[in-house]
Amino acid sequence: MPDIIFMDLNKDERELLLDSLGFDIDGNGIIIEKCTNKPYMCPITGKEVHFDNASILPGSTVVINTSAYTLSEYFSKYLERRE
Amino acid sequence: MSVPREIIDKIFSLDLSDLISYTVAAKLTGEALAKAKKRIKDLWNQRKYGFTPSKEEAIGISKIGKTEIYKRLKDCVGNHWSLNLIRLGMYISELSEGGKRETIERIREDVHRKYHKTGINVVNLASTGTIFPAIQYLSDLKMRKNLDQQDITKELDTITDEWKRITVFVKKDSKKKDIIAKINRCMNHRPSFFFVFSYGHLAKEKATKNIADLNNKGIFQREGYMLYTYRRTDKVGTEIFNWSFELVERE
Repeated sequence: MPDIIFMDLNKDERELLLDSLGFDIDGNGIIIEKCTNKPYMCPITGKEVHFDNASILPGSTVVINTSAYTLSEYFSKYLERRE
Repeated sequence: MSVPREIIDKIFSLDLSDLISYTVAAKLTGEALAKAKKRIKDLWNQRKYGFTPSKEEAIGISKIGKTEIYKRLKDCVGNHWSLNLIRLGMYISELSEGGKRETIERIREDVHRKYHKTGINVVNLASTGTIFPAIQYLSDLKMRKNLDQQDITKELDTITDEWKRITVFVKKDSKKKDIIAKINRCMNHRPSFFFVFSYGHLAKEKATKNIADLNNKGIFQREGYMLYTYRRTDKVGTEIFNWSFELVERE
């Protein structure tokens, strides 16, 4: 598995990163896909992702609801399978 | 209005983290902001960076994927569905030592929601340490019998389905008759292999003595089981001994 550099970002910096990657945040803090203008769904939990709980991970712009379980699933399914 | 040269230079010279900080701090707008965002996306696509609100947890979980034992398992079973659960179990085994009960419960709830009892079995297999000799066994089996990933995967499935029936945990206060009864019960089921575990010096002494007694009486030989010993030390220095018993009749 490749080494990931996990960055320390404040709220404004995270917003900029998400904006650069094609996401907005609505008034309730839910992440919205700019291209569809609809809530982005976590590919692991299948649920909407709140800004405060969002992990933004390498790959084809993967944003997930953060938990030990989703992080482990992400590493196994999105990173290691590509090695 | 074109973007000043010094801003362009800055955008293209900074690494991702510094570029994001600079863009926010300098309050870039218009074309400069557009260039910065494009550069941020290009750097992101190098697949080197990530952000998570649980940095420590993410690093801990990703580190497990780099351990020799995990790599050995992956080499044996490829992209088996249970790999991420085994990784979580190994992570839990580290958490347990720090007593992070809330995180452990959350992990178990998440796993149960998707994989039900089978998933919990896999997590327990890894969190109790049973997975370590199991990986050793699978790895040896692969080499000795030249098995492919499909065959080894079937063995792993058997282990995850039956791990409670094929595992004996010896505690420092376990009684001799109970230890021997449990070992005999394991052998009566005739599994391909089973394990005896002990944590800490006193439990190890107790397990060693009882296994030696059975061995000296020729019980394992009579039942067709070959004995292997495996030792490791956990993060706080506790000795973890296990004995793997492999049914050799089938060879």
